[in-house]
Amino acid sequence: MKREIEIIAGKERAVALLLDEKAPKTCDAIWNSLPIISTATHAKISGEEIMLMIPLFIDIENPTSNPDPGDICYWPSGQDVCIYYGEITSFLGAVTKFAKVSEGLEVIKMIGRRNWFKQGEKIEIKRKEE
Amino acid sequence: MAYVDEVINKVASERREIWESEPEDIKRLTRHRGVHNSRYLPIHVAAGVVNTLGSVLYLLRQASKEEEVSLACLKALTKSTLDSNIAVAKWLGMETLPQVLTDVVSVINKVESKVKYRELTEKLILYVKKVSCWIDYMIPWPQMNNLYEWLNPEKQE
Repeated sequence: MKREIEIIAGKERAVALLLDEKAPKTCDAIWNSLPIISTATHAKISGEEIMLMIPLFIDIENPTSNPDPGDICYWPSGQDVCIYYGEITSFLGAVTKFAKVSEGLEVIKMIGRRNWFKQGEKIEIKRKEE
Repeated sequence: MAYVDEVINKVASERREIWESEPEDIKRLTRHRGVHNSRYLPIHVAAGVVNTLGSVLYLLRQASKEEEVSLACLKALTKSTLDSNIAVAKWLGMETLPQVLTDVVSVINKVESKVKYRELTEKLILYVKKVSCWIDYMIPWPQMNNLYEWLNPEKQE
């Protein structure tokens, strides 16, 4: 059965599909920790990316160094969920790709641009109920 | 060993306290002044210091998985790292961060296994990195970049 998560900022909402087959350990660890609320940090160098720190240490799996807009990854060194919403300018290392936005990429872009100018917005990640 | 667990719980509690709410240390930091009564410079320096501390602690946590890295070595490196950062954090006007680091230093030599070392370090990493996030939020990144471009037009391509 496919598992989906919701990303919620205020009244805005996006949905992402967990890539259970490609990153099972990461998907399980994050799914079992939901709901998670954290504050948004915007990337400074790597590109158009929202980072949400989460209190989990998970080893890397399904690594990528070339995420696309809508990819959701986990960065082990920073304990961050990284949500990519646009251009990647300069990527360092690798992250675990564990989910993909399936609904609301435009919403994610708005949240990203907003947090570039003022970081720290509270964002919730929770399980999408059927 | 109970004393180590007490500190682990305390660090975890401090981390939960600041997870969604700005730490008191941010207010202290913003009241601090640098050269020429500058308000921004202590924030700028603190951002680099605390972010680097989080990264070094993560490297130590990773090193603890290596068989050839001894617990004694990890404890000595952690203690010296924290001692220097306690002094810098106090110098920048913070109080809670140096107190949490001091608490960890006070029990580091009582840690008896690498598993317990990782447990303690992970709790500390999460706390330090969250403090780092809150300091990062004080920096006007886009405006700073615009200012740099304005001051250095010859460096633009």
